[in-house]
Amino acid sequence: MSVERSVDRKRRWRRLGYGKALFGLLGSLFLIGMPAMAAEFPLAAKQTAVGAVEFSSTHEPDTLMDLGRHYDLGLTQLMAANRGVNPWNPGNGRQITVPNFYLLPDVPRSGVVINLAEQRLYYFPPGKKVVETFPIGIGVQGASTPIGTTQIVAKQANPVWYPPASIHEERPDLPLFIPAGPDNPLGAYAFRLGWPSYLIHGTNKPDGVGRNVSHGCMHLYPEDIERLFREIPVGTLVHVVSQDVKAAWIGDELFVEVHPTKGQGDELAIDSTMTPTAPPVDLESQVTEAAGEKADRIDWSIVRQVGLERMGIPTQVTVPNAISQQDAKSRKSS
Amino acid sequence: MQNLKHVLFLAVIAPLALAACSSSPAATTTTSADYSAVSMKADQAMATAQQALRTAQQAELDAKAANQQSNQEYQRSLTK
Repeated sequence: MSVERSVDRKRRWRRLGYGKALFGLLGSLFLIGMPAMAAEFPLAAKQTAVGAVEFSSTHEPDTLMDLGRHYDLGLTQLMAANRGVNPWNPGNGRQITVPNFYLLPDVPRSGVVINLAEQRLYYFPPGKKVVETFPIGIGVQGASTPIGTTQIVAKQANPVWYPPASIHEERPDLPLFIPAGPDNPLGAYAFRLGWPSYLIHGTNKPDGVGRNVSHGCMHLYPEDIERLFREIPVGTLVHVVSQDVKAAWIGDELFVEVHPTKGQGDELAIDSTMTPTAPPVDLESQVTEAAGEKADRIDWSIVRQVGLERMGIPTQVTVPNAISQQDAKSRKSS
Repeated sequence: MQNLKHVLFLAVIAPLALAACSSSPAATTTTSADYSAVSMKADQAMATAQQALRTAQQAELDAKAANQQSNQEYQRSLTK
């Protein structure tokens, strides 16, 4: 991305109605031992987005995984916004984009919503005007989580893991069960779902959050699952979707958010870069639908750019109202 | 009178000019030898630099491949 483009994007973020983007470096930041950032955002009835894009500065010996955990972001999400940065050694004093800004998925706002395409879980606590959101690790290519609605049927603290037959086939060295403890991949807490053998759980390997590494289960950072375990009751509905394109109005402007494909996510984790692909096939139709009667205000070149870059960050795609009105006036007068 | 002056002038100048011309090739030879030596040294330095560049590029490729492999192995190790 050119510097000009980057500056332009920052200007767009700066124009946000809420979730003001914070600029400037946060200074020397020693992440180890610091508490993670809050994952809860106030949510008004018609609000379509939460959070803000922030910027941080790296400090040796922090890795991008440390930064991700501190800001409650997954690795793919962080890498998509910071291509080319070595996750193990981002350097000292390097500016990092913290893409903590989300359009809400296009689903009913209740219970748990999981958007596999953005590797993220949203929880809408009943009776509260807030949304909580957390990064998750999901299945590897070919080990997908079902799409649809289920519910939480049981909660387990210190769960024992019984590897299913399919995993035993891949790894015959695994024991019949792994007791609770540091070697247990379920971590300290697990939610059992109405879909047998698919769980939402913690992890003993937090670096797997924000990557495609499971057999279809969804796992969270230990502190996130601990919080959700306290809050979410049995019987809560879980809506699993896969929306790689999200589009919504924030005030008078339309924003679009496009996420990397699963393959690109793997590339980002391994190579720090990703091979460009065509924009999602339904990008144009989704944006048109979201724009409704104001489709004439869309700058389609920005939409295409957002679709190609797949940075996972909401980006304004409408020409600002004042400018479009000025254009209309000048067209009339000419 | 004028013609005589010209003749005398030529008689003095001509041998001097011939002497000057005959001494030029010697000076040219010296400059050319120096140039050749410098040029050869420059070629050698260029070859050394190119070899160093190729080595560095290969080392970078090797490091990148090793990095990718270790990242891939790490990613695999995160699978439960």
